[in-house]
Amino acid sequence: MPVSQVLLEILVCPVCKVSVTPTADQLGLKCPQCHRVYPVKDDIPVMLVDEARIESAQGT
Amino acid sequence: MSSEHQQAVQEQFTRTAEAFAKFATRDTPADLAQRIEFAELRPDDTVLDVACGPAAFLLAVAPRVRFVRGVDLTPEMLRQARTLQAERGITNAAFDLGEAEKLPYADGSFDLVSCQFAFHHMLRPDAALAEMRRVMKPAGRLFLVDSVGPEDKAAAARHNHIEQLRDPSHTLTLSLSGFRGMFSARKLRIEKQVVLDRPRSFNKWMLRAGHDRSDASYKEVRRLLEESIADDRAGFGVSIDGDDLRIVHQEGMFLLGRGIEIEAGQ
Repeated sequence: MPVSQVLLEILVCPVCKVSVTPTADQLGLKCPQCHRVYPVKDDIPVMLVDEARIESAQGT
Repeated sequence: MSSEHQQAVQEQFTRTAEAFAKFATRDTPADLAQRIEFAELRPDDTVLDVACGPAAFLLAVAPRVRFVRGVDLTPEMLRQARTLQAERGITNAAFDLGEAEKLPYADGSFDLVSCQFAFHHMLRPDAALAEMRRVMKPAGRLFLVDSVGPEDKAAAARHNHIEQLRDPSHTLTLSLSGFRGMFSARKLRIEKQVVLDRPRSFNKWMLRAGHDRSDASYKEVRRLLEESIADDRAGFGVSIDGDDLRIVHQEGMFLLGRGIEIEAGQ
């Protein structure tokens, strides 16, 4: 299930402190600056640097 | 936080999640009520609890404020928080997995940032404090609760050694002057401060960390505490209580605001 917009408003990348946006499949939250994608597991954003994967700028 | 220490914290709190919820005597209704009163909650507040654990505090305050949000390092703790949330039908709460030293929230997001009994699990409490200050609104408050250790260096070393034997994810219990120095360095002003005695059962305290009488850590910690009775050399105020020990933790509660701490006497 996607994370609701209201909850997303203040969520930022823990490294860059830039707002994250949902990926196309809604399974992750992406930082536009460092391109880390943080997974969302059981509706809970996993905002841990070690759990993020780095996607190319052209990715989702 | 190093990955190694992060793993120690996650392991400790996953292993003991059930015992933690069951024996979390810190969270008796009376203790919770005392903390809620101290934090001076307002109906419009958006509250963040850092290292929220199973969210006993947050779910108790949720009905009194606009929204509560909890962040914790351990998935199992948040799973329990969500179960408790569903049981109570609370809709104004949300949880994120994250690190205190790298909070995933925008600057100035919260009216009240709370952090309870977590500094003694951190490798860099000062970095976490800076993050908590960052996500506070300009007129926001920071509510901190934690154990306070002895000022005397030798006693503090014994005190922390015992805490670490009980719980490998324990880093350091700060002294009162340690806390105050850290607040001052981060330009946080103490608006209220209380230090209370928290007497507790040694056996239950050990159970909450997953140790019963048969294991080696139990025996070693008990031996060290019994040795400390004569001169209170480890700062636990130990006394014998039947086949149990009574120990006393000093607990500090602080309400902080942004500003420069003015030293007493100025």
